[in-house]
Amino acid sequence: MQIRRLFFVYLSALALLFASVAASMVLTEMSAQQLLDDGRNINVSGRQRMLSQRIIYLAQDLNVTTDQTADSAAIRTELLSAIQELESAIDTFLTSHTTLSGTEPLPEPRRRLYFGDTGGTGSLDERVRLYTQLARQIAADPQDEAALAGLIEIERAGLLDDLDAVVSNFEAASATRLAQLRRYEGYAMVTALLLVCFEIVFVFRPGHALIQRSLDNLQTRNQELEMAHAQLDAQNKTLRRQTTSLRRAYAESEKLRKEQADFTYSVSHDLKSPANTIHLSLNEIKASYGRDLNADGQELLGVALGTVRRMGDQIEDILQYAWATDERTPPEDINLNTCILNIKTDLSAVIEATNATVTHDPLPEIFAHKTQIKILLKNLMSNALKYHAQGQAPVVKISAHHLPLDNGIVLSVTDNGIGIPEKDFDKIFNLFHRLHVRETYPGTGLGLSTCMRIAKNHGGGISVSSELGNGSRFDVILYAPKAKPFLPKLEVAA
Amino acid sequence: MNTEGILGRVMLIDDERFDRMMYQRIIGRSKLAQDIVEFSYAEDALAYLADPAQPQVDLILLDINMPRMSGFEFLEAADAQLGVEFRAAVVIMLTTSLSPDDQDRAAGYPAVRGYFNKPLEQLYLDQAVEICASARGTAP
Repeated sequence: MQIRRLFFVYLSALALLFASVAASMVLTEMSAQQLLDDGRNINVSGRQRMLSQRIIYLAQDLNVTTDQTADSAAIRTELLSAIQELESAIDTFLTSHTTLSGTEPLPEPRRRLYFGDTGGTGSLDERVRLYTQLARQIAADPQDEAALAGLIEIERAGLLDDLDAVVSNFEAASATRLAQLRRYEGYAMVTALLLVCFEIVFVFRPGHALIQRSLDNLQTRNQELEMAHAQLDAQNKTLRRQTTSLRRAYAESEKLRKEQADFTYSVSHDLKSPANTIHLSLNEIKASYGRDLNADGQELLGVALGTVRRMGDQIEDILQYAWATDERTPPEDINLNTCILNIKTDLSAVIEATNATVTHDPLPEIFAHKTQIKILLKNLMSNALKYHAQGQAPVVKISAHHLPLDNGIVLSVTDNGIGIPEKDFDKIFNLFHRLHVRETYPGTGLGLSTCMRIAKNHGGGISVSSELGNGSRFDVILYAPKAKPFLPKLEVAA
Repeated sequence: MNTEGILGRVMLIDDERFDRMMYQRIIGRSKLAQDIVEFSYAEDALAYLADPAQPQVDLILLDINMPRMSGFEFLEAADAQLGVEFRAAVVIMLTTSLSPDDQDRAAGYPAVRGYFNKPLEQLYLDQAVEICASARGTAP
């Protein structure tokens, strides 16, 4: 059960309890008031009974007193006082009677008692009025025998009994009302008790359990959190350690990379000098003894010279590959238009020999490693000029556009050459991989590997679109490098 | 013992024109082959082997690093296309690759009976004669 619902039930039950206690208090107050009212009414009706008696006694006394004619002053005074008392008793009696019988609405039993003709002698109301009227006649004339006889007649006919019946009726009604009120009070008490029981069973106990459970839960969660915190702490420490060792490893790998570049450079350099010596020697043989060799010997010498020249080229290319991503010179702003013009000058011999057309769109200025970008573009343009069908003049176009989402730039080199089959798109970037034998298209298989390395060093890459026989387009994506070398983002498994 | 022409028809598969030229000269000098066919692309050699009109080849000298189809790709393709017939052939790898991985990989093909490092020398040819003889189940 939710604590909010429990709280609602608790409040409702509490409100009901208060309501029932309040009801009980109101009932008590009401019964007290009722008792008071009833008591007064009973009192009045009792006094009425008493007054009727007194009236008849006084009336008889009065009659007797005047009868004896012994007229002393004392008797006279007594008579006067008796008349006065009778008058006042009659007044009170009549007033009480009017009050008790004139209450609207008058309960049916009492109405019957007052106004019903039960014994054939007229209703109590009529009799009382007649009785008081007769008493007044006696008070006016104590010798009125007929009036006295009337009084006695009414008295005998059961006036007292009927007045008693009224008293009893008042008492019975009061008892009934009290009993009813008591019953209501009992109900209110029972309701309150039931509510208390209900609260204990359905609110306090589940509430207690709920709170206990919540506390237990909180305690468990607290423990879990503490454990998680400890674990995180440990992981943090591990991560920090790993970060440190990764930084160290990165520095180490950078150092090794530089060392390897240096190593490759010195090896290539050292290889270059014997190759030069062989080249020179072979040239000397050709110059001094070439004429003495037969055709076979001359062919072999030619092959040897060609090979050693190629070896020189290969060493150059390896050097270029090794130094392609050297970052000893910082990146700078490069005007690509100037860059292309410079490369065209470098390649002018090939361009003239093949009758090629090399054009470029207005190119933007980029921030990059200048030497690398020059090697990249020169290799791509040199390839575009090289791989064309025999007798077809190469048409090479260089264009550039910015990438819309990030600040990358795409340099495209398009040619009308022999094209590349789609299955070989990936292979051409592999180190030393070639699609043609050297006789058809010379090369070392290092050019595009170097280009890819440079593109990746600028955070980008190279993609090819081509169709066999229908030219190729190389798209190079480049991003401006950070001015300083940065540590790579560390990805450590948690 | 007369070894003339003992190697039968020899196929050279190598992209390097100069290397093929030197093989021709050395094998020619040794007089061990009856006939030599050479290919600069492995694809062309495969087409030749698959052509029933062409005479049977007794020994294949195969380079590894070649444009378009490497020596290993050639072995895979030949195995798939020619099947049992090719598995019975005698192939000797002849390559500049010094990598032990390449050597192990070559040993995995049933047709490959030997692994020579360039350049080809007379000594290798003598070994080739022995290899061919044992493959055919006859003494040289």
